[in-house]
Amino acid sequence: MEQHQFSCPSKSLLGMECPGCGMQRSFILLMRGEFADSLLMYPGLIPTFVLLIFLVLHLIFRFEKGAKILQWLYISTVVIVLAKFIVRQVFLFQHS
Amino acid sequence: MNPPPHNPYEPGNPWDPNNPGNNNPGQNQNWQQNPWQQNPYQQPNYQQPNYQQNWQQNPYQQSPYNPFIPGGQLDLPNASTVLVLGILSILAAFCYGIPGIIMGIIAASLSGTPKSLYENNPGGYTASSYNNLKAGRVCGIIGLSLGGLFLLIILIAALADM
Repeated sequence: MEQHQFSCPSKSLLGMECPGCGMQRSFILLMRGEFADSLLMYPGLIPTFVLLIFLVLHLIFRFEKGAKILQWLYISTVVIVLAKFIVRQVFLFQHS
Repeated sequence: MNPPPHNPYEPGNPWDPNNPGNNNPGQNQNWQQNPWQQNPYQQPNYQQPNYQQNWQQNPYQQSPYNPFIPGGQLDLPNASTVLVLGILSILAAFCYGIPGIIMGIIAASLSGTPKSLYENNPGGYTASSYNNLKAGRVCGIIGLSLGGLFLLIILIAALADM
């Protein structure tokens, strides 16, 4: 799997990282069992998995507050991804 | 003043002991009368489902009746679709933001009809499907705006490089 990763066109064409950068490497680290490294590489991956699993469970079992929980999980995932993106851009900007 | 004498030929309510009416359907005086109204086995509050639909009518407007749920409520149409599309829009917004915008637009537009359906008839649809619809709509709109934001950032970065 490590040899067949998708390549993000924004990194090769523009040199700029897109908000999904690091997601595949983080997934591979998760498969290897290194949770801390995976979280460091892309903190938005585990919330995304939680969101997807909860979506499937909600569609099957129809929890009562399921829709509200899904909404807040989604918003928290978005916030985490955005925060990581902004922090990394600022970090890179400061160093170069 | 004496009350007028009871007319035995006038059709009455079979449940009324004073005026049971004509219990014998064979003796209908008025042949144009609807024979189903004289049926003594018919329950008084039985609502027959509307089988004679006007085909030009919106099929969603027939009175919803679901025999599997105690309240007889139906699920809103497309509610699960809107939910799934809205939540997947964040994953799709990572690739340049364009699929995220598309999914967000579809989620927001698909949720228009069920929302108005629910507002016209709140008791006829399950509340959980309405909650799904609301959540999917909100998530879709957030995904749409995020996708647009990412697209804008990438465009600005591309233009700044040139």
